[in-house]
Amino acid sequence: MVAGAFYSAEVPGPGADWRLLVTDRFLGAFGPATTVSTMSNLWRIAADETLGLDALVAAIPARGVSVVDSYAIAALGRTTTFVVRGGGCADVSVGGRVRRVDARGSEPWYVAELTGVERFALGPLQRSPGDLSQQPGDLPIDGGVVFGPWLGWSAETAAAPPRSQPTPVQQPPAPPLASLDPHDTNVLGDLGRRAASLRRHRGEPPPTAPTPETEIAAAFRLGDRAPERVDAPVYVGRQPRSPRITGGILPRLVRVDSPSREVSATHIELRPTHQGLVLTDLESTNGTVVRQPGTGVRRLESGESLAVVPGTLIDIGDGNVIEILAYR
Amino acid sequence: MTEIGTSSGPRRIALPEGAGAVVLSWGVATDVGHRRQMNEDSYIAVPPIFAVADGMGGHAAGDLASDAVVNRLQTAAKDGFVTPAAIGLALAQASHDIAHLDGTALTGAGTTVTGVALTVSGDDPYFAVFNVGDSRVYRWFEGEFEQVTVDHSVVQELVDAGAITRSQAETHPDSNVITRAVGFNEPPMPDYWMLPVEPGVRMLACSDGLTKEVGEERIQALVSAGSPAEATAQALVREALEAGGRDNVTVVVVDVVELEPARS
Repeated sequence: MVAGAFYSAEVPGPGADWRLLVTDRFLGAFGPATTVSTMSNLWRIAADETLGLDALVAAIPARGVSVVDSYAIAALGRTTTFVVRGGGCADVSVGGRVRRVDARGSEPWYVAELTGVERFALGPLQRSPGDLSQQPGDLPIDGGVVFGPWLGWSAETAAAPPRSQPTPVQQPPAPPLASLDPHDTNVLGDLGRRAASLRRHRGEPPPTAPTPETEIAAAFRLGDRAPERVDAPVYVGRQPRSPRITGGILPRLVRVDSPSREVSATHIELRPTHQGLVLTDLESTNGTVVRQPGTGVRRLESGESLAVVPGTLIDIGDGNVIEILAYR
Repeated sequence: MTEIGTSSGPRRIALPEGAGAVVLSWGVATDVGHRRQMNEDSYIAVPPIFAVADGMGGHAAGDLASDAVVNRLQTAAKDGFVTPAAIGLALAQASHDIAHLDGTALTGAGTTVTGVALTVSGDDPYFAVFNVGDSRVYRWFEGEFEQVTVDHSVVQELVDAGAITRSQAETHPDSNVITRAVGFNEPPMPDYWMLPVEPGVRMLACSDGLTKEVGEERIQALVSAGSPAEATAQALVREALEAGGRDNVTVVVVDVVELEPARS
C-alpha cells in the first residue's frame, strides 16, 4: 500500500531539510527543527501496527524545547486524514482538482478528512503545488525516514491489483500472493538503516528483496472478494462487533451472509503479530474448521487460538471460507 | 452548557462511497438539577456524532471544558462522516484547548465524554462508541439492555479487581473519582467499541447525573417502553430529577429506524 510515495532529490542545498516519514499507513513531512529523537520516536510509533494516528500525533511535541511547529501528516485508509500544523501543508488532488490543506493558525493542528484522494504532496507552505504527479527525477520511497524538500504520494502507483485472479476457495489453495503491491514493501526498523530502503527509480534496476524462508501470513481473502491486508484486528461474523479497544487502533469488521445462521454474530478474530496472524474462535456456536497446509483438517475448540500460515483455509459455516495469504 | 443540535424525527443519512444510508431519529434532554448552580454538561446531537460531556472544575471551568469537547467533535464531523481516528484527534485538540483556558492553570479543568459516531467498515455502517470518564453509553436491541462503556473510575477498578461488588459500587464514597478525563493536562485515552447498526437498535448516552440517581432496571424500563427517542430522553431526565437531581443530567437517545443496503 505504501509504494506510491516519492520525493524530489533534484532540489539542491537548503530546502531539502524536511524530514519525510513513510510507512504503509502514514506519510509525514516534518519541519527542519524536528529533532532526531522525535523522528526516531515517531518512526517507532508509525511502525507499530497496534497504534493509531492519534497516538502518532500525540507523540509530536506541541510545546517545549523540542517543539515541532510545522508538519503535515497523511493517514492512508478508506478516507485519507490530513493533520497539518504551522508552516506545514498538504496539497491534495481530489476529482482532478488540487486544494491546499493548511492550519490557518488553528492550534494545536488542523485536521481534514478527505475521500477519493488521487495524489497529494506534504511539505512547507512555500511549496508550489504543481500538478502533484510524479516527475522524472522524483525518487520512490518504500518506507523509512529521509531528508527532502517535500513528500509526494500518488494513488496510481500505490494501487494494489492482486497478481493472481481470485480463485474459488473451495478449490485447493492458490499459491500465496507474492505481494499485494506493485512494489516491495520493505520496511526496516531502524532509523540508521533508512537509506537502505531507498532505491533509484531509473538507471539501476531495483534490488530484489530477499525471499524469506517462511512467508508470513498477513492478509486474507474471503470467498471471491478482493484480498485484504490485516493491519488491525479483524472480526468476522454474521453481525460482528468489537470488544473494548484501548490502544486507539480500530478493528476491521467483516460481515458475511449466513442464511441458516451457522455463523455466529462475531465468529472469529484474526490478529496481526510480528510473526504472522493469530486466529481465535470467539466461542462460536458451531465452531471453526481449519485446514492448514500439510497438517490436514482440524476443528478449533470454542475460544481456541491458532497461529495460521499462508494457504490456510478457515471455514466458519454457510460456505464462508477465509483463505490466509502472505503479504511481503 | 453548550447544546449542539436538537431532537429530530426520522432523518436519512447517506453513508460514504455507496455504502447505503441509515435513517436515524434522536432525542436530547438536559437539566441543571436541584442542587447545582449551573449546568456544566454539554452535548452534541448532529449526525454522525451524538455525545455527552460532563465538565469538571471550579469557577465555570468545567463548563468551558465540556464546551471545548463538543465543539471539537462538531468540527470533526463537519463533512457528515467521521472515522474513529478523527474522534481521537478531536479529543486531543479539545485537551489542548482546555489546557489553554484562561484562569484554569491553578484549578484545573476537565470533562468526561462519551457517545456514538456513525462510521463505516467495508460497506457496512457501524456505531463507533467512544468513552473517556464515567458518563455511559447503553444499547438496547431485541429486548436486551447492556452497558457498552466501562467507566474510567476508581470504583470500576475496585469492581474489576474483585474488591467490591457492583451493588457496593453504587454507594461507594469514591464513586465520583474518575481515572481518565479530557483535560487536566493529560492526553485523552479513549476506549472504543464498534457495534453493528441494525434497525431497532436504540443507543443511550448519558451523564452520571442519570446513572447515579436512577437504577439500571428503571433506566431499562424507560428505554424499552416504546416511546419515541425525544419522549424517552425527557422521561429519563424527569426520573433523575424526581430521584433527587443532585447533579446535572443530560441524556441523548438515538434510534436506528431503517437501514438502506449498499448498492451492489
